[in-house]
Amino acid sequence: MAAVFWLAFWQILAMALGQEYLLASPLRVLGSLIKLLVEPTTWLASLRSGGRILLGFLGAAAFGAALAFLSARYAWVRDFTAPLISSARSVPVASFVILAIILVSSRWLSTLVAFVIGFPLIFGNVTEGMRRRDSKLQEVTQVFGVPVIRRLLYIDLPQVLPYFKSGAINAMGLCWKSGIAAELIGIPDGTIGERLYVVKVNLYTAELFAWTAIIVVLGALSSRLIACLSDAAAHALEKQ
Amino acid sequence: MLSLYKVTKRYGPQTVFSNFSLDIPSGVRISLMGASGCGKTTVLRLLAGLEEPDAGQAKREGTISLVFQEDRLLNALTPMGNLRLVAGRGTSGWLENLLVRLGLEHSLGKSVSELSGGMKRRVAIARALAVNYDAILLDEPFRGLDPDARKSSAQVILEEAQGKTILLVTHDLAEAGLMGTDVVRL
Repeated sequence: MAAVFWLAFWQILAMALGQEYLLASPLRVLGSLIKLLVEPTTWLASLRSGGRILLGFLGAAAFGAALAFLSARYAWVRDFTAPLISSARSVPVASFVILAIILVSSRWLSTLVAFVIGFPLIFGNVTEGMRRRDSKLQEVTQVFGVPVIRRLLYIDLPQVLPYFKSGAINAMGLCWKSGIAAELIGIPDGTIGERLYVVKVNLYTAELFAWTAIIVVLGALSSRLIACLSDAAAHALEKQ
Repeated sequence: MLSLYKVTKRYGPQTVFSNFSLDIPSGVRISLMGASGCGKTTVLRLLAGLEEPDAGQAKREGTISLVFQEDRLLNALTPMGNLRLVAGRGTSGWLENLLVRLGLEHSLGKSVSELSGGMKRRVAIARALAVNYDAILLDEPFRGLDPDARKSSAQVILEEAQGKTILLVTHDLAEAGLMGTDVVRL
């Protein structure tokens, strides 16, 4: 009901403004979306951008989680990486993007930015999960000398996985947002960022909204996929 | 051999004990008794290496096993799963036999979360017996067990820990008698 109200409000506002380049109506946006969806280049651009962003996310997930585990175990790793983590958290995305354009090909810009944005989030959440592990079970592993792999599989991972899942879902959304923003600056060929750049230059507002809808859906689907994979992993750990 | 030499232990402003010494030669059975809060569990934790003394020395020769005051089991696993997690000795058959001797024959296929408090306690005892150890520390191991289960569990511990050092923390003199230990009062 609320959605219908806001769509009607949007339609009336667009009609009242009467300037399509300022605010396209929902019907025009729907038309643009359908047009985009039947074009193979839309799918190719989505695949290209999505693949690169996902690659950056996977790197961030692996590196962030591994570093969090090592930091929890070794104080020197925690001290050594602290400046790296706080830099990744505080440096603006635009600064990373400009540096990345200088250092690497614009093709891998979104991968690098997704990595830099996703990494501290996942690191932070997994670190928190490690910190909140049941200390009584840790003592059990200490007294009985439980080997590292068993400790990881049976005790650490089941406790840390919910924290990883939450961090990964948040990171996935941010990776999409920042990855596309990076593409918009670097304009790599055949990507969603390049298509958005064309839309921006020509003030194709309806197409901007349509692309936005596509990005939101792709981001939501990716987050859902992460949630499902995390749940499957938790289930497998429980059943082992 | 387990020993504490002139040990002082504090938790914040509270001194649990100071200048405390205790020697437990290998193969000896001792029960540690005393009022609540007098530091019995702290003695076990110091001997197990889970705590460091603020002053003095805690020494242990050989390996230690421990029945914690709480069960500290993995609830999603079966009793056998909990034993396998720590087991440094014994085949599956031996571990299963250990559980059966502790009266858990009908609980082998269940997850620990489905077991009663008394059954969980016996799984915790089995886990402590499933590892290689020279000394076993028992922190109120029979808590929540009925008299029969208490007696049979004590019997299994005595059979399995034959010739090993046993240090029992208990409030109950009858339990100390059940385990055939000398009593040391804190």
